[in-house]
Amino acid sequence: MRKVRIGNKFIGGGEPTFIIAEAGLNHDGDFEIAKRMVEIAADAGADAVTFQHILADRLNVGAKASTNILTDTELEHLFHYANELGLLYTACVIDNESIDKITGCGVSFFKIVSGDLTNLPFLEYCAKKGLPILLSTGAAGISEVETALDVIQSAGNQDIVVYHTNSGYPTPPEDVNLRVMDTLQQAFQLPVGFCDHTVGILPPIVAVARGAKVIEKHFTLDRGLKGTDYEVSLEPGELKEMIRNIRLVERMLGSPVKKPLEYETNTVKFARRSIVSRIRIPRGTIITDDMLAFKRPGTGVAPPLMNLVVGRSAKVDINEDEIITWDML
Amino acid sequence: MKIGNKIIGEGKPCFIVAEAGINHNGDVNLAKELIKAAKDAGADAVKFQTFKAKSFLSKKSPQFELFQTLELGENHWAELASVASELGIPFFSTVTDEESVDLLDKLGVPAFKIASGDLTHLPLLRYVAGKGKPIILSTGMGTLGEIEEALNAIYSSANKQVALLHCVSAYPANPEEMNLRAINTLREVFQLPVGLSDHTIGSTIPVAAMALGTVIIEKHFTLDKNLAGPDQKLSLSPAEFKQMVANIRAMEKALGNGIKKPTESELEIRKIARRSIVARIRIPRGTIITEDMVRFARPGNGIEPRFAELVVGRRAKVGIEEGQAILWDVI
Repeated sequence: MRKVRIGNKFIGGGEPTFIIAEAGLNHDGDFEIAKRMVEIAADAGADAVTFQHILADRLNVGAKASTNILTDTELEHLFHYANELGLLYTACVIDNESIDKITGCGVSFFKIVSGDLTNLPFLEYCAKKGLPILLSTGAAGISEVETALDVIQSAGNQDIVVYHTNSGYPTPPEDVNLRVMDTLQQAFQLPVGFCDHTVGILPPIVAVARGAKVIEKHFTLDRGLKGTDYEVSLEPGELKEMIRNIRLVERMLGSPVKKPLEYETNTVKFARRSIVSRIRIPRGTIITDDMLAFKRPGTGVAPPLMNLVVGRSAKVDINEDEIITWDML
Repeated sequence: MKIGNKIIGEGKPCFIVAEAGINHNGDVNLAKELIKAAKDAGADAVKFQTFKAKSFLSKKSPQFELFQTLELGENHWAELASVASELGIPFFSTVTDEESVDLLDKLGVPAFKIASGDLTHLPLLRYVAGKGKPIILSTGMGTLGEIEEALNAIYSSANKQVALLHCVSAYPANPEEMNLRAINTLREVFQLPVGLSDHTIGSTIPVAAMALGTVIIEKHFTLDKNLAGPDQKLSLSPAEFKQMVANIRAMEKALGNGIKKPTESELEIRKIARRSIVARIRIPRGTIITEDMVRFARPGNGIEPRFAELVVGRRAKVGIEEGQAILWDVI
């Protein structure tokens, strides 16, 4: 499976999980809050920060212009700031003009919302920009995902991460269906990510253990502010904790090789057993089964070698409850 | 793992080894013919077995005399290495003692093979590992524990270039006992390239093993199965070996990339094999089309059956002949 490159980071294979802190609209149009959110994302250890820059009048029939979004200039400043703080960035947009604008601002990838999975002309337009695409697939059947991928790949763009996601805000545990990630990976041979809309930090952490290569999660300064997606947004401390746990999981997955660890080889002796004498065995006696027992520590002869002990004669007197060693036989 | 200039591992072409073994019957000229035949058949390498009977057999063994006649001398091995080099086919051999290891190492073999019987010959494994070259380790008759111990012995000299061969040491082996799925287990447990050393009759099993991602196939071959020798009957003739190589290469291609969509050649047939909505009877202009007026027939260059609901209930803009495919512009 090919890896997808975003900025200077790689996604897929054994690469670290690419973690996106989604600010969404939780800034409520306040530039200072948005700036603070960028800082929080950087401090929490995210790889990228994203904003939703959806112009309502371009999205919905009969809608008036959005009031809670940032201006284009403010967004540009936020991108600049994110870059200064070492974060990659993009904005979630839904029309061609916006795509052009954010491409001009140097975004390193696009995020497509689930609602635009069937917006094939838009997908083609994005694909042709040549940037990696994170494609959300919420509320879709396999055929819709297949068609969307076909359009993107036919436009010459193979740098796709397929997002498993759920559109219920918030998603109950039974509906998370993490196993869909396996299906998407097997069917399309592309890296799979998880865009989480549950409450709390557990599902993304589990998703990473299950093979998700990208995690996206909403965050907010304070759920009490009741921003747009506040129910499914993490507060700064929780975001940091989620990322910390994801990095831990990556370390815990470790190696598939089944062998004792270096420091285990010493301690394991005390957990294993040795062949010991159950009764006193006078010198010259031929040793039989019933004269023996198995006790810790395992510093003597190990139980599998019983056959080399039974039938031999004791060279010396062996006391009761003594670990048998080869020189005694 | 790399043998010569060929990389062995997942995603790489299968490394096919023509095992001449002892099918030369002690005749170095026959051995040379075998090398030529291996090259012609398209094998990636030719392999022999290097031994001195008195070194690995007890004099009392019933096989002692036979193996003595099958011995080749040091100068013979040099000749064979040279012939292989001229023909441009990698040459290596099963080693059985320190002498054979040194001999072959001096001749510049790109790898060493260890026979299944020597899986537990830890001193030999350590000696071979010390040469720092790739090792192909057969695991016939072995348990996971024995393989683990063998690998530990090899790794103790910092040589990690090992490939395992799943093998069933029966001569010949029955397909029923092959347990090809053990290839997956070996790969999973030991995280090494895994191949198959096959002793069944014919090439069905090695070709089938390709479906499990087997990266090395080792198969006995001979110039003529009617020659004398204990391994002749489970060896392939040059023509059979050539066919096996072709089948293995075909299988590699047949596995594909797993993405389910029509192939190029299918796209043409798709048009013919699918169905169109077709008029069952003549439909005069102006008629409202009902279900019983249409049927579904090949070829599929009209409207797909799943759009029937968009056709039924519409009016025919022009007269539609019986058997004519209904297209959007006539309704």
